[in-house]
Amino acid sequence: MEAFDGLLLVLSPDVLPFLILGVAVGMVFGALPGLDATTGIALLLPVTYAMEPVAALVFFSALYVGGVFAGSITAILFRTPGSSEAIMTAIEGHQFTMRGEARIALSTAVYCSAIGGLLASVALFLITPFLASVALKFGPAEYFALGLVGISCIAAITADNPVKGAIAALIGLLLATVGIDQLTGVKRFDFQVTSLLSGVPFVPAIIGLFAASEVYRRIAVRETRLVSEAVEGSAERRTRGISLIEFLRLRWTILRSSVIGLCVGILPGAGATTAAILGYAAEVRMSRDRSGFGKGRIEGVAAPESANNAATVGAMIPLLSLGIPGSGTTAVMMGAFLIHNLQPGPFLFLRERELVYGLFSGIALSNALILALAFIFIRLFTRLTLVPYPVLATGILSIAVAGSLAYGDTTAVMIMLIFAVLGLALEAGGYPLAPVVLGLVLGPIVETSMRRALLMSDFDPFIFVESPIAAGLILIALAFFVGPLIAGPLRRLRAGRGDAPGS
Amino acid sequence: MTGDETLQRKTTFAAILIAAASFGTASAQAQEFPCDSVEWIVGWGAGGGSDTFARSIAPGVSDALGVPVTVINMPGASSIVAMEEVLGRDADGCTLFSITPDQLTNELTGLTELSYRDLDAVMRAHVDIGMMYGAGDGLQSWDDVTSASEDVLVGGTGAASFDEIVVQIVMDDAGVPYRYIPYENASDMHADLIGGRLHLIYDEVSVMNPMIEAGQVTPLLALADERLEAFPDVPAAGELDYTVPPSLWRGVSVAGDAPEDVVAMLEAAFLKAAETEAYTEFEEGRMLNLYPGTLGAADFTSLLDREFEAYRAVTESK
Repeated sequence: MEAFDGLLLVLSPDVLPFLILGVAVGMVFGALPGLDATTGIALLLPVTYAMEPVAALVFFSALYVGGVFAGSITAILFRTPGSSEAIMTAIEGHQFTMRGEARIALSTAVYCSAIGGLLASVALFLITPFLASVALKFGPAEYFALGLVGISCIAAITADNPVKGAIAALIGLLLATVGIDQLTGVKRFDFQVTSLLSGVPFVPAIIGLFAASEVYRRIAVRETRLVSEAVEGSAERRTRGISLIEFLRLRWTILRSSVIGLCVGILPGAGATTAAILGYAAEVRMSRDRSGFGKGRIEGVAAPESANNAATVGAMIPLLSLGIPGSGTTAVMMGAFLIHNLQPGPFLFLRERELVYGLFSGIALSNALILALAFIFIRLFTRLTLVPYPVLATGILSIAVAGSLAYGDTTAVMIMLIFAVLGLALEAGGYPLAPVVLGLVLGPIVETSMRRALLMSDFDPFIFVESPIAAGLILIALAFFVGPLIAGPLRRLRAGRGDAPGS
Repeated sequence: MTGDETLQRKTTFAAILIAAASFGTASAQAQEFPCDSVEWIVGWGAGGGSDTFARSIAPGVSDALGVPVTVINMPGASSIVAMEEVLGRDADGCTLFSITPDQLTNELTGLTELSYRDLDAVMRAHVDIGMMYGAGDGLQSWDDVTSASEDVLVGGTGAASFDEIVVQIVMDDAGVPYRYIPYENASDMHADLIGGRLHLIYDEVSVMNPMIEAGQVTPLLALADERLEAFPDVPAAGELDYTVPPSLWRGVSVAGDAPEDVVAMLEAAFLKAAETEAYTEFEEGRMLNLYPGTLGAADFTSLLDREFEAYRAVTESK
């Protein structure tokens, strides 16, 4: 009944326009590299002083949802992740654009984002208190184990060349050690550059690694069109979206990734980017046939897109029920609550039930609204693909520079360019980029969590197996690490046995 | 038309004239401020304490100066990235820089060669009182803390940071064995306290107030000279004869050797903005008014020197 009242509240003319506006503004911020939902909310916070609390909060939640989705559009079309959550989508989705099938990847991203977000919204309505209690069970030992599971998937992601994959992952992990050591305050690999003290700035790094390096690569081979001429002939493939049958085949992928996204999203120490990476990694790990990942498999778009939108919804759970923001964006959103004299936390559920259910409905509706608004955006952006590549390249590079600058200072632009060269060199040598990102994102989680856990236990290593969650996750990671090593011999053994009777 | 009415008209007319004249002088005063616009560089991310402070007071400052004040976030390295940017610009007073005690501790822990003396203090706006908190079935009172026989796990933000120095001062005076557990992200720390993995944390009241009200955490010790009116049941460090550690405050500065008249105009504008309703409401909502914190440039400068020496004594005793 309360849920229904909440829905009515959101559909009222005082709130609904802000919901639509929020998703649209979020998409604009999300699509532009260097600007994301966090910046959007921080910038627009003062504007909402005069608004009704429900309208303001629904506006920001919608902005968050729209922003996390829209990063995927530029990621697929130009390999330029508009926000860091779209990083895996850039890797897998851009392959479709190169084949002239951008619309398949784009429509998959739209449907999966919406469904991932909606599935997580259902959990929001039904089991928020339960999920909040799970979030509280995650301490350093559990985060360490979770990070380990992610890293253990590297072998699966790079099935065709595990050695090069491992090298790429180590490069990522090495880069993750740059900056002030969180546990001792010691400077590491800062090369006297102040900007590096807080670590390699992630957004400039991925813009360089993916967007700028791709531009340089294309310029090097003198490409004049975004979509190579050879594939342009098949107009049918170029214009069609994903078919219903193809989409239905993705049902388990979407369900699995949404659950992973939701679970990672509720953890204050992880976020939607980590969720997208883990969703992708789990998808590769779980699929029977791993060939084609990294070269444009539709599951590789569906998994991270379902996961990151589910994580967005998940991040609202600890904020609303514990008063602990589950991500950087929700930390800023907490300010929106405070300026309206609302304090997120257990009391919010008791005192402001109508508002809470209104917000839940708003989040669910924003995800549904992606379906409606996304296609307008996509139509706009796909027009850009017809622009001659030299013109497009200039635009992408300008945005890459401006996006890095928006993130920090001129050093950020230098870092972006250095990563562009790194990306170019790695890809030229046949090293995949996905493990680099995996190492860069998971490295700090694994390192600081492990050391913090040991600090807490006074260097007793049993802290990692004392809790069932940590022990379970470490077992999974071990299985993933060891699995590929014994799978080969095992298969050969079985094959040998199968041959025996015939011989 | 009666005489009264004429008189009334005349006074109205006069009032309008006076208003217009005073408006004229106001804008004349504004023109005296030599910068076309003011950029306020905040060395912390959007949504944090320093950012919300800047965005809450900036409109009032802008009104008082008559020029636009734009807040720019330049997060990184405990706000050193932003400090370098500010010191690299002309010392004309047209660029503001947010300061917190981190400027003092960054220098002491060797994170940067830059000194707080490279800056000219303009105004301290408020004090964000620090407290020590326990949660759940763990430590219920400060007596529980002082009678602990095993190492108390104390969480704080950052290593070799302001928080760690404050924790060191408090726990040394309490004479309790402890291990400091540093966090990069305060949310993780709060989850670890509520989840029972930490015994005690240090944090500021503006952040913790929602969790105190909801009963998720219990304030055990206020790091103040005497008990706070808002928390009558919480003992204060001063009444236990502990050294009261310096509090977290937020203020504003400009690059050093700025023209004195510009700094004076900024100081006046900030003091005026601190009185506006928009700003006092912000302070009230975040419990930043528990302790009178507003200081002008001269008082703030001598406070910085005093606190720097206090921190130096602690870091050198280590």
